[in-house]
Amino acid sequence: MGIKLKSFSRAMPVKAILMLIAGVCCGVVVGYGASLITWQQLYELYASIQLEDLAIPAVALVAGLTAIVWLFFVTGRTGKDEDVHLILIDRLYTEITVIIGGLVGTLLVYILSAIADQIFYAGERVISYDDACASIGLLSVVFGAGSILFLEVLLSLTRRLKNRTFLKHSILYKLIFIIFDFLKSIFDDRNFRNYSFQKGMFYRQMVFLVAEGILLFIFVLSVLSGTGFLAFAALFLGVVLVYWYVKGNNRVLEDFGKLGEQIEKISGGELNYNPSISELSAVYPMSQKLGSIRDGLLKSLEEQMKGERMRIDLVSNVSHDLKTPLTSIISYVDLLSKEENLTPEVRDYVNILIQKSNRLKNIVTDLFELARTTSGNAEIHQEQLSVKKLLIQTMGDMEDRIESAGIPIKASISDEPMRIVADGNKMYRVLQNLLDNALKYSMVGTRIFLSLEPRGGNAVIAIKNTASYEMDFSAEEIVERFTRGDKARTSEGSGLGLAIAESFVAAMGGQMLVDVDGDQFKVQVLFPLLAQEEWTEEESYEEKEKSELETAGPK
Amino acid sequence: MEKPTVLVVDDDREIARAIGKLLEMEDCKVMKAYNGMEALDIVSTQSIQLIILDIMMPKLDGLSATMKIRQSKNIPIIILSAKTEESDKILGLSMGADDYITKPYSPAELVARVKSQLRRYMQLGAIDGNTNKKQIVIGSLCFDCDAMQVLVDGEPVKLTATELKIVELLMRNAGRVFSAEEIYRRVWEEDGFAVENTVMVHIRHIREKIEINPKEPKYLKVVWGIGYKIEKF
Repeated sequence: MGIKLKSFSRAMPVKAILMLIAGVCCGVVVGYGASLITWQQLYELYASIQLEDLAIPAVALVAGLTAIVWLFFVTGRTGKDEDVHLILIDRLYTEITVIIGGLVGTLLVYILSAIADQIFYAGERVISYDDACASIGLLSVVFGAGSILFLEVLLSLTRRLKNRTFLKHSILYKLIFIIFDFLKSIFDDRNFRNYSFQKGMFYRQMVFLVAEGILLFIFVLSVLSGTGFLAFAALFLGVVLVYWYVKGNNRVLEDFGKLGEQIEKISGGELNYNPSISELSAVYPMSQKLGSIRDGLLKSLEEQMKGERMRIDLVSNVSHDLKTPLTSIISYVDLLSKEENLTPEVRDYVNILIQKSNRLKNIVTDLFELARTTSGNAEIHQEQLSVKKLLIQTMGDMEDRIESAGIPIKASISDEPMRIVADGNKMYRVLQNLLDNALKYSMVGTRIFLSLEPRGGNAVIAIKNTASYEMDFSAEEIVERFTRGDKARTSEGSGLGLAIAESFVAAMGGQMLVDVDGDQFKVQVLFPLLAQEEWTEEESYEEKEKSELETAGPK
Repeated sequence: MEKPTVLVVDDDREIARAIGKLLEMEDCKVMKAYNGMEALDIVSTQSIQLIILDIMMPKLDGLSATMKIRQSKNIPIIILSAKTEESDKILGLSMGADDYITKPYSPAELVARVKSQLRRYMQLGAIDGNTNKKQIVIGSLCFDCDAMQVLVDGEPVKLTATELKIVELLMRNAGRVFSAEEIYRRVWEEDGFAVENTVMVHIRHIREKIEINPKEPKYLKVVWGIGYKIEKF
């Protein structure tokens, strides 16, 4: 029963009603009281005041007081927990709230005095009783409303008191806190104790501030007491101190600038820079540490290069070691095949050996090509090429292979002149690899589609074909070294064709994309288009050397 | 005619032996050396018509040996090496070698190149005698201006009129790259449209006729994405 009452009494709507009651009651008390007094003033008949007349204001008084007291008890507490809850108005600083309260209070007092005036005028018979009552009534209403506001202000302060934030939430407190904090920061070296540089700067600043403070104090004292000389001396010292402090700071700033530059150089890769920071400078230890970071970087770079060099040597050494026995095998198998008097069976063996050793030769050659390219070791001679020419040349070059495969190539080449920067020989190899791939693995009766078009600032070469076998691999897998789509095939390819094409393309600054869609296999090669402004004149061959060019004729 | 003597130099004995056998089957006399010093010895004391030279050898490597041999002799040298980069080939050729084959090689191709070099060497005497002849000689290729024909290793090659004009243009300006349009303009003497295909076809045919291995042309090269040229030696 007690708990239920508690939570009930704390409910929001209940509080609202209480406020209303309080306000109304205030108004009623004031209004009734005032009109009664007016009646008194007019008719001076104390005896005619009946008890009934006092009934309403009495009730209102009691109700009002009850409501007010109840509110003060209950304010800030909801039924849900034991915390004091604050509302928006409580966000104001204590002083502000007090000021508002003061203003509202003043207003209320003013209303009361206005009511008192009315009573007086009525008593002096300046105005009629009814008029006076009407004005009093109006004023009482305003008083009632105003007292609700006043009540809320008081309640806000009460809440703060209950919350124990009455003082803490005041402006004064905050100001004092800031000043205290600042003073503390001057003297508290906890954050810097471990760093000699910061510690030094910190103490220097502290000394400066304290000294200046003392000098200021002396100055003020001496000015007040009229000792001109002392004042002057203090002023002078103060200025000197400032000069000393600022000079020192500037020096440190300068050194920091040098440190910053040192960092810039290191991050920019220039590892041979030595800053000119004097040993005496506070920044010197930091500069030294930076220097050792740089040394560490240099060393790791060297190691990396050494590692690279070793790897390159390894590749070329192993290359040699692999190719030599392979050469022997191929040579001797060839000699074997040239022997007469071989039984058909033996001849068959020999043929198999020839086939397999050739296959091995292809793999080894491709493998080292790939290794060289991916290690960044292959020679790439970049130059400006016309993509269209490249394609036509390649197709022309491969015509016999295309014919013998029996798979027609449908080419759709954009008329727009397109130039890229790439290595001609390598591009030929790439296209050859891709076309070979398409020719080898296309289903008979289908066509290969070759296209060249500009797209999004790139020249895009696309080769599409329909596979003659089920492509149950992903785009990434097929480009991975040694993966071959049709795992059963034993033809001559090394399985590295696509991987080599991709690494060549990447080394030249292009992009190769493979897309597998059902039976459709699509490879795209993208290269950034060279802007026309940058094209070197193709005509230079023609115009510049027209005179030097020799043609057939009598000599 | 006397059998030509070929010197095979390789520090791998099996390979030297296999090459020797291969060449003996092609009617050559073969001598072997296993390092650069031995090679120099033999060259200075014996009559050699062709040298097949490996690069990576002890005592004296193939490139230095080439340089030394070239100081006194004009014998054709074919370099045989596992190094395949373009720059290695250029280096070898600029040292004075006449040809460059990479290991592993195809035996058939080796034989073809040997024969080509031998033919040239044998012909050299015949050509030198006739100083009246106007010729452009690039390696094994020879363009006879008077007879208007192309000889490969001294043997005339049958080219069509157009093919001949193309070869002449490229040989007269050996080392220069010509775009397909330019070739068309000069040879057909008119402006064409979409000439790339036409020119490419002709180039291919020429290659098949004059190159030992059309797939790896030594003279008539495609400068991919730009045009065509005949290499200057």
